[in-house]
Amino acid sequence: MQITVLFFGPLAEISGLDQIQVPDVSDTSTLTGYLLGAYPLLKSQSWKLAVNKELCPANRDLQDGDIVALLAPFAGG
Amino acid sequence: MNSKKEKKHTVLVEGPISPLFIADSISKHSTKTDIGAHAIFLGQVRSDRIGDKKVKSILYSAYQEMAELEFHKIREHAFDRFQLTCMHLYHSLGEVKAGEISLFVFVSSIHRADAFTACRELVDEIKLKVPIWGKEMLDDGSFVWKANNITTFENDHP
Repeated sequence: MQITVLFFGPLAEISGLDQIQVPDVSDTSTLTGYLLGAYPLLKSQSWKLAVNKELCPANRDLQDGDIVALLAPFAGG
Repeated sequence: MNSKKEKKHTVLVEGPISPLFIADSISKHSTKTDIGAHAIFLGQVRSDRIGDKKVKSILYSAYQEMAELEFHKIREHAFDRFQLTCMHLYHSLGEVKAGEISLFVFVSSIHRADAFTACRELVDEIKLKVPIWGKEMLDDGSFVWKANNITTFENDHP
């Protein structure tokens, strides 16, 4: 099982990458824990998760091939 | 009406939105004589003062696939709620200098009330829901990340 994680805006500067592959995470809580461990600077940032382009306000299961995006506060306009 | 709503719309454009493009968009509506009211919002990059520095430009980036999806939803929602003849939305990507236009919202209706209200709501929704980021480039070469609605993002890690 493989999840693609995308980083945008200020969060891509923290990770140093636009995207990573994360194996064997069954839900978004587990993924969040993994990301906070791998990139501790994320703890000091505000962000939300989107799973397959939909905002994900609560924990949810992940499927192989899902695309999860870390979204910093928006700044359009 | 339905075919109009289903059309694929380009929203994200590279660089600033030129006043000539805006003028041209307006002139294209002269044949649509059922329109009685246009409402236009133009977002202009402001040279905010941050400490002793000033914003020179904003570098916009987006999660493009999700942004397009969100623009589509925002558009459909407005068509459902207001009596609109047509709607055009454009947002810049890349560098937009202070004084240049980065957002162009253009709605047309039979009467002014729907056009005014829809225009305002569209701008609010775009700022709140579309995954676009802006890096404010300062005059000393440093930068800060702009944020619209940071309170809706606080401590939100799921």
